[in-house]
Amino acid sequence: MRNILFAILFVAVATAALSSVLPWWIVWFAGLGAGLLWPQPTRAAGTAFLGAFVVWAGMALWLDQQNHGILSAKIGLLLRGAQPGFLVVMSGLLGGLLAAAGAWLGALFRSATNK
Amino acid sequence: MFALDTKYCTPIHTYFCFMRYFPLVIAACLSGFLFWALHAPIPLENAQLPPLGPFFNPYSGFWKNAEPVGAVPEGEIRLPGLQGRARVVFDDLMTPHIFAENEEDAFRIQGYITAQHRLWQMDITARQTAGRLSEVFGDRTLEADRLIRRRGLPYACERHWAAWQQSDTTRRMMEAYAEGVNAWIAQMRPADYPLEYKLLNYAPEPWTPLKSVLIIGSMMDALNNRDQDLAATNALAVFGRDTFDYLYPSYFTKNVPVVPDTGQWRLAPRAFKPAGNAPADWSVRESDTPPERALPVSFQDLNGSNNWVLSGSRTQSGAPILCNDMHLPLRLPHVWYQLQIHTPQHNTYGVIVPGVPGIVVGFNEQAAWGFTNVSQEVADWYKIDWTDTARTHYRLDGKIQAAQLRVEHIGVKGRPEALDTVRYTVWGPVVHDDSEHPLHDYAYRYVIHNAPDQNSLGRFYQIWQADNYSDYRAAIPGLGSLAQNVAFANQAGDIAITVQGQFPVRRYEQGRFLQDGSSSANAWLGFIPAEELPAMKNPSRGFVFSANQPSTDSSFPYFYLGNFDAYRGRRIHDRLKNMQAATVDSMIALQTDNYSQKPADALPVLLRLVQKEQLQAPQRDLLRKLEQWNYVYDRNSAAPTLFEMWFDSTYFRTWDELDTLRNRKQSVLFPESWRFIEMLDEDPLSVFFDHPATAVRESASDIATEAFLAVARRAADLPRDSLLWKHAKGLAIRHIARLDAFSRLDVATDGVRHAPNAIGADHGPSWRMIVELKTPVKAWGGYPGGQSGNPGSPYFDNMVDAWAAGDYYELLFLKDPAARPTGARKVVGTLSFIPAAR
Repeated sequence: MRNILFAILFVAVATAALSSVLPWWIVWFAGLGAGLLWPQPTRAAGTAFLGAFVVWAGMALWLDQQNHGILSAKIGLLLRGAQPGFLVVMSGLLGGLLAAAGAWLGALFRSATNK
Repeated sequence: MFALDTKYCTPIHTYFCFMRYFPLVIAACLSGFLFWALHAPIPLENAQLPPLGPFFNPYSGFWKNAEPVGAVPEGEIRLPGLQGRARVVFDDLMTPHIFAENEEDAFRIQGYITAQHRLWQMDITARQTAGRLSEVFGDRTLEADRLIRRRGLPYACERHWAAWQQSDTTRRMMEAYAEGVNAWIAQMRPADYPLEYKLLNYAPEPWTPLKSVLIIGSMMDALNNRDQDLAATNALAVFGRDTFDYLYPSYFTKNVPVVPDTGQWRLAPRAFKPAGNAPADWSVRESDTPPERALPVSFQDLNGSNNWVLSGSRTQSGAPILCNDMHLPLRLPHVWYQLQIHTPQHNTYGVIVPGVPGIVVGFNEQAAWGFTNVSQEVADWYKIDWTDTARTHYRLDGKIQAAQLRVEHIGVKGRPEALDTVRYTVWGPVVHDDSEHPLHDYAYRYVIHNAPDQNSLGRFYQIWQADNYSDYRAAIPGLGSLAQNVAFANQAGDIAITVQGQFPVRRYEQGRFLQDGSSSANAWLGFIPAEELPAMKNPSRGFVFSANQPSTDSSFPYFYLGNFDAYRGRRIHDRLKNMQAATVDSMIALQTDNYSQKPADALPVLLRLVQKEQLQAPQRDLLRKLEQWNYVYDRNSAAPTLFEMWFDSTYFRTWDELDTLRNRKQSVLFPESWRFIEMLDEDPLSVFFDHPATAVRESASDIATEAFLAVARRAADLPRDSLLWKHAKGLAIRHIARLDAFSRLDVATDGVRHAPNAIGADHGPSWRMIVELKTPVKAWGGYPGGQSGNPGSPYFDNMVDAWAAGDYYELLFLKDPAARPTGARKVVGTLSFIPAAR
């Protein structure tokens, strides 16, 4: 259990630290790192997903709150009436998916090479 | 690292190897797929949605453009090239007030701040005039890029910059501004790019002085680009001279000109003729030039404006009041940017188009000035007599001349660049290369192609420190070919107006029709000298004004033509001449006056003509609405809608002949609406009211009745609310890239393009300004947009609602950056600028 929390924290911190300086795909590497460290594929993918989801959705939500939803309402209209909440979740999902894919690959790689 | 150990690769081992690495391969494929899917652009209404990965990444995508509400600019910025320290104070409308130790520093900071607020708008406006939109939008803007290049806009701007950079002052100003913009661009990371760059998936490029000139060029073109030569030529060919003179008189006698005749032109020959006599009949002759549909100016939204000045004798305070509202297409981000510039030389407040250094319309501590468009025609077409089918040489005065070929390289996103050859003749460029186009062999003589005086821009900007009449007169010729009625007032009590611009000296009617380009004798005879341009100072009537009406009455010695307004100016004149002890409130009431002279002219005539005995009860109810109407275009009234429908219906039923011709590709100039009203009133039996297809001979009364019955039928079919003026007109303020999500669609407003409050369907007063020349100067203003160009900013469209309601903002005019104002405006933040090592 502690490992799981630790993995989530690892992905979240890595995502937050790296995303502000490197492009979007860096969240995949955060996941990959977690997968290499905790090579249980399903668990790695799940924890990475959670860690990245929380950071990306959290960041989006925070920016949206600060902005009083001015921009999310307009981007929502641009995307054929998407609700601001959907945009927040969408950001989280994309970050989460990327991290999970990285973590899954990392974990499988680790288990494939460790006998 | 791992490696397959080949000595174990028996079939069993292969199977186990496969089973062992298969999930890994699948996981790798999944990652690869995600990278690909999140990296590919997605098609959207008018644009492409950028790749989802970068767009939704909250650390660099669109979320980063969500500006925190309540955030204020604070801090210290090291700006390369700055010579001294400077401060920029922001008020609660996010208007910057720049306090710099010298002019160059002020422009550098202006570039930096304007880029921060409006970079994408600057970029796209410069691209539009340069014919470079296709680099961003691809194929769909290629025709627009080609046309603007073929019209010689980039060419004109290059010539302007070539001249202006010869002046040290102008060059240093333009370069300092560009360096300021570039300093802002240099410190941005992709995460900081304006939203539109992210949506359109491209990056900002460095700013240059030429781009600033391109933006000036876009304004010159917006205000000068008009001519009806082709449609008028065809009308003359189709109708013959007498009927032409009857339908299209060049002067409307009810108009009150910008500068009235006070005897100053008495000795000069008269350049205008009155309207011709009514023809008994008309016939169509064959014409070889089928023109486009040419509706007159009264059916178009004018890039026009109102300005006026009341002298102290007519104001309550005894100080002059200057008012200006400039009518332009309304877009988001807004066309104007407000700012104050304070240097040891001057202290000036006003507006500028983002991308251009300085202030173009505004006021200083002693004086104020405002613009309206002169609306004279300054572009003509000349037929080229080519000597060869490749159109490389042409005859001029019997001699053969080579056309200069300019090859335009148009970058197109996702495609190799397109090449286009434009032929430049002694007259100007040959614009249309489609052999079907009626102007295919015509060259375009356009005043903005002229190279300006190298000091002109610097000369105009002397107006920032103008405090007296002679300073103002000395500065305004610097406007060059930007033809404006420039109104002026100062604290000393002087009021003035000048019709400023480069106006060709024409022979009678020269430029009204297409011309022969094989003889240099057909060229303009030069330009009207500055001292002979119509001007007026301190008239005894106590006011000056302009509203895109003719510059003079028919006694002016020079012939000119143009698209002049026939209604707004008359209304403004009527109000001003009866105004005593005027206050700022009375000025607001006049700028937002929704009374139109057009129905005041037309409706009594239509009501007299309509055959009431033919109307049923519900139709009489409608008519009663119109009979009781006070000609005010109130948003909640249905009468304006009914009148507009009735008038247009009568108009187009009358000119059905012209529509028939248009369908035969022989369309001609439609008469002005004021001329049509004159015909309804004075000549109701004119042959033009007859429908050629019917056996009976219709009169104006028949047509007006027929039109009213049609309007009544339509009104009965429409939901009741849709007749209200706010719905019938419906103002839409669209985002420049036409993204509805960033637009303000359906803003409820009063007014109409022919009332002083000239709000049309997507057009209207773009900067309302009222300056009271007391000590100290006080001013009010507003525009339908906001200082920020970022759709994610609370300052993107924050002034729209106040503008729509006719409310004004008191403008903050500071003398000291540390001052804490006591009026309506508050200071919300301050940026300090200090020189940085380059």
